[in-house]
Amino acid sequence: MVVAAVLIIGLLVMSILVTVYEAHTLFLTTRSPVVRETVGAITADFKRAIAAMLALATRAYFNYSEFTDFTDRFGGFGVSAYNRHNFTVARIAAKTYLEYWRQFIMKAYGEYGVQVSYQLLELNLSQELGRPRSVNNLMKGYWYLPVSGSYAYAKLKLNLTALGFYNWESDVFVGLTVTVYRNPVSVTASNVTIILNVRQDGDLDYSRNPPSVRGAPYGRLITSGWVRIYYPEKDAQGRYTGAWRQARIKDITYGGMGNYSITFEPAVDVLTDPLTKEQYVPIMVVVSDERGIIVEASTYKYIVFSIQRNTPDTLVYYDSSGQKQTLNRPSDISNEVYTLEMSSNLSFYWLNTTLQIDPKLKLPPFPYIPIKQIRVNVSLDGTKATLFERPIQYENWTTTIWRLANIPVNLPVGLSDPQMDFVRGDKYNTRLVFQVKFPSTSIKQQLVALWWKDDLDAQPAAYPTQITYIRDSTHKDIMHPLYDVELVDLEHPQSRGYLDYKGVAAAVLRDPQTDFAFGPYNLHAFDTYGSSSGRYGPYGVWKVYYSYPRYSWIQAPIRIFALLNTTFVGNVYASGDVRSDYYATLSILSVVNGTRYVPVLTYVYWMKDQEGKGYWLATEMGRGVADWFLYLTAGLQVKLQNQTYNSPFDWRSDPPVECYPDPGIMLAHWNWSRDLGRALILNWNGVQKLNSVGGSDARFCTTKIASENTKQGSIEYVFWPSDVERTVNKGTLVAFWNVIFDFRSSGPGFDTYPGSDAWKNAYIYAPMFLENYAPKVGPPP
Amino acid sequence: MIYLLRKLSRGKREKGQVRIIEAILATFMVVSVIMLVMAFTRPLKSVYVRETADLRRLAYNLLNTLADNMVFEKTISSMPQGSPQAGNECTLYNLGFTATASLPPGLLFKMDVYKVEFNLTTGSSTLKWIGCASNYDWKNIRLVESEPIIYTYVCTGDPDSVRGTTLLIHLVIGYSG
Repeated sequence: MVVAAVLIIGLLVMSILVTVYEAHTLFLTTRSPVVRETVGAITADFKRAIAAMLALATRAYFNYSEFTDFTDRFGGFGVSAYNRHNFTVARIAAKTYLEYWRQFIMKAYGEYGVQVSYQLLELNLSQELGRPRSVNNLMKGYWYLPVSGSYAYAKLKLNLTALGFYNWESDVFVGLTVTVYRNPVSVTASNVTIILNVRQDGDLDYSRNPPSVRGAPYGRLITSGWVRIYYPEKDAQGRYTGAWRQARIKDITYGGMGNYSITFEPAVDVLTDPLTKEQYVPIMVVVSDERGIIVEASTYKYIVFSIQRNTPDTLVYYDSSGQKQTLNRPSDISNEVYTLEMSSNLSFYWLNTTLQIDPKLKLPPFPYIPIKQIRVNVSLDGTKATLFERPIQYENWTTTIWRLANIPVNLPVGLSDPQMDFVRGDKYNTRLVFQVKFPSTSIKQQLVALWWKDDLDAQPAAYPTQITYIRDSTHKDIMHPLYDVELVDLEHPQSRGYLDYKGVAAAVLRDPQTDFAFGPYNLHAFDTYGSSSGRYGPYGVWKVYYSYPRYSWIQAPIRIFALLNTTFVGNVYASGDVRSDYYATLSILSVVNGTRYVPVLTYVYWMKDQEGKGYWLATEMGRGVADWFLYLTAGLQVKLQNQTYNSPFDWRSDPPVECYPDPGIMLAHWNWSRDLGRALILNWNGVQKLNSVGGSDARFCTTKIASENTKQGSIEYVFWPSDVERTVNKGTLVAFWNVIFDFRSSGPGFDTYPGSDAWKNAYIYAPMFLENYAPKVGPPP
Repeated sequence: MIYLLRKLSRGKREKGQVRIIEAILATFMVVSVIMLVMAFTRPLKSVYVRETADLRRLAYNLLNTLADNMVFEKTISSMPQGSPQAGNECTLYNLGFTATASLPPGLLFKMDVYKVEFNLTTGSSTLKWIGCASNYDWKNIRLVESEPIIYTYVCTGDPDSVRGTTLLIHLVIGYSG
């Protein structure tokens, strides 16, 4: 009985065990391949999806138009030629795509109850790039340096609910890193050989937080990827033009561990890094892997040069009795601030005039790079110790033939679109605008380093500025702590609380604190209207450039400029008297942050012979504020150059206008009791033009008493005064610049002079605005 | 008397212990026989499941191999832009040839390739059949044992005209009998 019971129980237990075992085996046999293969398939596809999106972003960033077969298909996701250098847009497009992919995957593998999500985490790239960098928002690109890369990273999360499989997580990383060794292996007369290292993807190191990655050597560059090399173009004189050309690759050898030796034609100059003294060939290297992910690297990361001050520290002038005098500038010349421009064709400008470049300076062009990534460092004492980042502004200029006068002119066409490339164009060139300060006479040169950010997400530089543009029903003003420049013109004819200019374009100078109008700076004027002087002035609309396209919240940090381009003249005293048979005017006025000057560059071209009483080059009114005035002679009509005539205003109504011969480079008027002084500094070409057109009639004039018997106290450059009637010939071209300069009785950068000699605080800065004393560009010390 | 009772009692106890040992030995023998029989016997269902799993694994491996070699990019880039193959014949011959070469002999398959189109206006995804590849007369021959799998593939390889395209591949693989 007992035996039978034990046997039955044993059999039952054994059969249960066998059944359980069989069920378990069956379950494993059924489940494991589906889970493993499904998870593998989805993970691999996720990696392909983010690789495709990184390829899309990097191909669009490098050259959208070359890869339109790919990039155009993602227009609906936001990727477009307009946004080609916008990594944020590319990232949004990638996330949108991944969301569609995610939903599609859940439907495609619906029978397994697939749930897919991904998490964006940070991955440390410092080990890979050799500098502190990371990817933390799906994808990043760090380009244009000798070690550059493109990366995407996310953590995939997966559940297969129908199979009871939960919480699968997998780190998915795609990346491509290129290291270009700066120093070439060899340089011959016809070719150059360089070494580069390429790494792809790689293993994650979880011993760090966040995890880091080290790329795996990429050995398929020759068979599956491609490499291009760009070299800087030279002109016939051997000077870099700013353009780039694709080199002919003659040989590529794979040396293992991701290292490639590349020989290309033509030969490229070997340059020396002025800061590290390393040698390098200025080239750009672009690499793509088989997935379409692109990286662009360069062999250099900045352009360094010096700006040399060329102004004299001791000035000469002649007093009213003809005695030669010298004037030593104070050691503090902190108002000597140059607002310079570097064009993408590698020219430098100051007041729209090309600066002289030392032939020893070998400047490579900027790489193909979006403007928004460019920055500038400028020293304050000429040494690397003060070589820090300073404000920079990006502008678009064009060199065009002014059709009327048939002369080439450089014109601004607005602030640059920061997302466009800084490349030399056939028609348009970008200019980088930056300021170089010379705070004391002991400093003769400053270091300038133009460099670029490697982060493709970099936004255009925004800096605090004291200049703003205000446009409303009563304002068309550019505000500056020293100036409020109210632009009167056809769309804003009525100066606030002052005069109606009837559409004539001028710049009314106002007190920025009280809004008091000192009166206009008149660009040009001709003839009289009854007893009133300056009948016909340029008639048109000032176009003001003050913010960047698509970055409207970033105000121009260095200067706001206004452009007037008109073929009409209008009568400032009567409406409707508008003529198109006098002269055309092209004028660029800029209000510059952190300086005391307002440059006004003007071109005037006469379209017909016209006779008139009085012809004014430029005038600045005063509204009776100034009590002294001065002018310097040109030495073209009288014997001495820079002979001074300074006098208090004699407020007589008869004659209301006083004129003096041979006006030179500077006029000034001031009121020392109000600590206010303004000077007009005319460039030497303008002085000569004044004398060539006006001849012996060229005058400095001051209108002491204006109409209605009010004080005026103006300073005026005059071809001939209103009591002279002469003819201007068709085809006469007048090109000049005037600088409106604000000077004070004391303060930083000024010396202390008695009221009668107050003009000296303007004169000590006048040379910086003249052609002969323009700064020079040279190699760093 | 007492002595006799004790002797009788010990004899009964020894007999009971022997029976227990016999019972345990008998149980071991029965279990051993059962296990021996089980070892030589394979349930029909297990055979079926094992082969099913193998087919699925084989199918995924085949598609992974094709994916690693970027065969799908080459396949759809060789097709006229935007137009699926004509009719319902399987004319993706290169894809079929590559897949056949990657499979053991005797295995049959039919692979339908769909392009996934994301409609950003409606937020939906639609499938567009672009062609199929097969190594047998799928209209007339019926597979006896077969497994279907779904595979998704985002094209990453050249050319640019297909890069970023999302595909869905429906693969049926099996034996004809």
